[in-house]
Amino acid sequence: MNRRVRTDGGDVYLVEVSPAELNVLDEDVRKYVCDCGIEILEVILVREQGEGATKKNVLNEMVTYIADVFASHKNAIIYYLCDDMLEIPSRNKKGKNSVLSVQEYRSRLFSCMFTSYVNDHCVKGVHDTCVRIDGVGYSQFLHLVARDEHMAIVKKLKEDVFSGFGK
Amino acid sequence: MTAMRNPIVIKDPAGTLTKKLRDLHERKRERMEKLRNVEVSQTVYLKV
Repeated sequence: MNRRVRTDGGDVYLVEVSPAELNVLDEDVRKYVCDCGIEILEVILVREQGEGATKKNVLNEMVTYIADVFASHKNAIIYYLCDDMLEIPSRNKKGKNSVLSVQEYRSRLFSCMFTSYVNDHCVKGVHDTCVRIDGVGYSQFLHLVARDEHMAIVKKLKEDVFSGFGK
Repeated sequence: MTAMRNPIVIKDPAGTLTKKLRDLHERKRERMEKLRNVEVSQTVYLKV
């Protein structure tokens, strides 16, 4: 499932929401997820053209698309891995947030867009869980968006990360 | 609705997760490359 967003400023983005590869998970967790009938859908955002700052209406369009896919998949959990690929043209490089890594910037932006969407649309019973992994000299961020009834699965997934993805 | 902006923090001083995370990023990078200029059924045009 994907959608392309083109702006009159020449920027082109692609939003892809598709089944995540679960191979990284522990076998028991994978089986548990499958037995529960859960689809884990990974969000991938790609800038295909342009270097303009990403405007609010573009972000809103992308979030709305992701939300539409989520709404139409009642057994879905959305997964977003904050990557460090490509710079962020709109990033504030002078203010207090200038020290944020690209991953953390994307993570904060994801949380902001989630909060903004659920507030604007009065969404209830959906949660954004942010996981930060602090390794040696780096921090990685990932998000899991799930409904109330699927929070037990989110807990299992978190535990699997805690335990080193089954090693 | 809740947004946990206070992230759940997993400390990985021994680097146990490093390889797995690198694999996840590598797979994502490959998928992103494949997606570039892919045919899509829906294109939205926005004025910015």
